[in-house]
Amino acid sequence: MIARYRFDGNDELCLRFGADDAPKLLILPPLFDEANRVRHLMVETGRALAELGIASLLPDLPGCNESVVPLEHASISLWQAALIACCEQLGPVTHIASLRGGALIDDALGDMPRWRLAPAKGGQLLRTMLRTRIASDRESGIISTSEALMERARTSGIELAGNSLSPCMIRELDSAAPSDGSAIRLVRFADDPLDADGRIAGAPLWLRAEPAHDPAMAQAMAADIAAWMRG
Amino acid sequence: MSDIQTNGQTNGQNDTVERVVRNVLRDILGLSEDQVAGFDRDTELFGALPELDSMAVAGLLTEMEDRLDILIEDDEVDGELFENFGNLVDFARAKLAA
Repeated sequence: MIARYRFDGNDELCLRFGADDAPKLLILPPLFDEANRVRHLMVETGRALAELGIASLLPDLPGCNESVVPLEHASISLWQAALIACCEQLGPVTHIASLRGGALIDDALGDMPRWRLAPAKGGQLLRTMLRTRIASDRESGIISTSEALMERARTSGIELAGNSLSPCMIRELDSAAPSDGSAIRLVRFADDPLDADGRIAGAPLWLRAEPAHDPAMAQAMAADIAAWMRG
Repeated sequence: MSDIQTNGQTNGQNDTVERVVRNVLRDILGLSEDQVAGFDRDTELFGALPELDSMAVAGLLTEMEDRLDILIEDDEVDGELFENFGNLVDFARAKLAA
């Protein structure tokens, strides 16, 4: 079901899955282009969770997806404020699940139990976007460097890979890292060499040059999240 | 650039580097295990694989940094690096050895 929450003078869309009286989970997608590539996966995960008896919210962040707010008005701290407003109006939520850069804003509601799949640092996301910009500059015959682009971005903002990023967003994103917490379940793919509390089968669809969907991965995510929420 | 060959080497770390580069290409391009297993040193990348555009290359470099714990400078990235699979693996090995 499509719901709305009010934030900063605008209505933002929020998908709601499951029964109203079921435990409520806040689902946070990855950030920027990665979110577009896993939109289908996130929606299917919400539906699969509903079948397992878990209700969830999948909000638009201001400046993203269907939001009418320009992305250049957004920042990490603004997104966190929006999540607070969303959960006050459509919650309460008891748990949070995020993918990738979603982990950078999953502390918006304090030290709540949080599930994370392959969390990313803000600097990683920024580097990829800077590289895309450097490549397109090069095609136009302009030689640019990450350092020079970042220096300008910190004072006057920048457009990277089609995203207008404000100086505030640049500064916050550059230093953003997933926060510590007392109840975090870190999940990775079976072939990922990094440490994890749990492993699921699947593939990093947020990297795909051509967007794809993996129904089995949505089921695997939902099953792991449901088992974790039920302790 | 390293003169280590992709085949004929049984050194554990080198096998790992090659597997990581293969897996990153698999994940970015959405290829199957069988398809990437068929990549050899001469398999052409940029220009030969239509999905590998500049956006995909940007993601590929960041993933390689992340999975191999290396740092790739802007001026190390040129067309030659993505000419074929062998060049990309050699580059990753040289970065790890540096």
